[in-house]
Amino acid sequence: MNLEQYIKTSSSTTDLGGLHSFYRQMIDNNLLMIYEGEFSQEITRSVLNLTEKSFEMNNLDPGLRKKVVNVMIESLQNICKHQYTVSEAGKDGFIPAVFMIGKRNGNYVIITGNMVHKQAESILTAKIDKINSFDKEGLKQYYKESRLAAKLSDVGGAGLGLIDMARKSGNSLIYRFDEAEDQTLFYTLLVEISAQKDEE
Amino acid sequence: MGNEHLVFVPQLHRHMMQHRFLLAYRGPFSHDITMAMLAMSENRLVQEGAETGIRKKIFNVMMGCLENICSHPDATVTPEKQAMVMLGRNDNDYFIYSGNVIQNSEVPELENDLSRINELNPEQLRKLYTDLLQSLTAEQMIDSEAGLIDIARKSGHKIEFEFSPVDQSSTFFAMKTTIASAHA
Repeated sequence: MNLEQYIKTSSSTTDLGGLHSFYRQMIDNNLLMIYEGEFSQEITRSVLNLTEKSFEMNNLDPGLRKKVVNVMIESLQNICKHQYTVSEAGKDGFIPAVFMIGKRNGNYVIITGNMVHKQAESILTAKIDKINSFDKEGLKQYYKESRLAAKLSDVGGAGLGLIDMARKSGNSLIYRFDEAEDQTLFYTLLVEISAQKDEE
Repeated sequence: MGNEHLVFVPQLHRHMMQHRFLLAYRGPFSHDITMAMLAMSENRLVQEGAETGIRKKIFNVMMGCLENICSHPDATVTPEKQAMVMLGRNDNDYFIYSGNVIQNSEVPELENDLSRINELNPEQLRKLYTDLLQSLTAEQMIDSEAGLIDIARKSGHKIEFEFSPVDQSSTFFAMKTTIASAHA
């Protein structure tokens, strides 16, 4: 499959009809904001700003607001870091990433979607499955160990961001890979941030 | 490939790439949210390398659309009926999409206003706007078609619109405004 085919598998109709079906999808999946494109520092800042204003309007608990924002920052940093990986290797150039905020079971969800190389699937799957296998205490310990390992080695890839997102959200990380181009997959990550307060 | 309930994410991604939607917001609108939305669009347009004049036009039209939504009494009702605003583009133009749920009873007048506005040339639009400005109070202006006229004037294009039934009493009103991405 090439990029053109990937895009054309969209089932939407055109123009304004497309708008209504898009709106329906936003409602059906309870999405509040979607941004697609290149993620720069300014864009990241304005995404955070818009979300903050929306939280203020909804009188969101400050503790929960902080947690959601922390996960958002982590997710946005993750996109910023990896958004060019595909374009460097591929010939089709830059493929925009997507960032969404929505609600699920009364909790906020942060969803990111970006292209990754096919080889990344097994690595990411192993990392996330490992993170999801820990309980709260185990995750804390694993974070400490990974941080130490990341300091000792420049190779990185310890998945600190992912561990941190799991810790702050209090939930398992949910992911999915979809076929996009020959050597590329579309990687979706959903983090649900529990609305209930920590006992700590 | 994993969690089925996440399949909507690549679907929306493709939908956005196909239509070149850049950003979408759905929810309650306040003054702060309007300002944040405008700032975000501005940042995106700067990133795209849009000219200052074009950015200004887009800013004005978007503000008009947001005001239109904010002034609408139904804008903050149930999540199912919350309004949305979107920015998109193609090779030649930028588009501002707005959608909100209105009462069925409002459809005929709105349809009539938009059809009438679309028949007018720039000079006629200017005159109609000035006439309204002189004859109406500020409060009356908000309830009038002045906002739509202003959007049409600033965009320089016909306003595309569509009404889709939501339920027995309400309709989804979608509006698409075009702004050329380069000066004519």
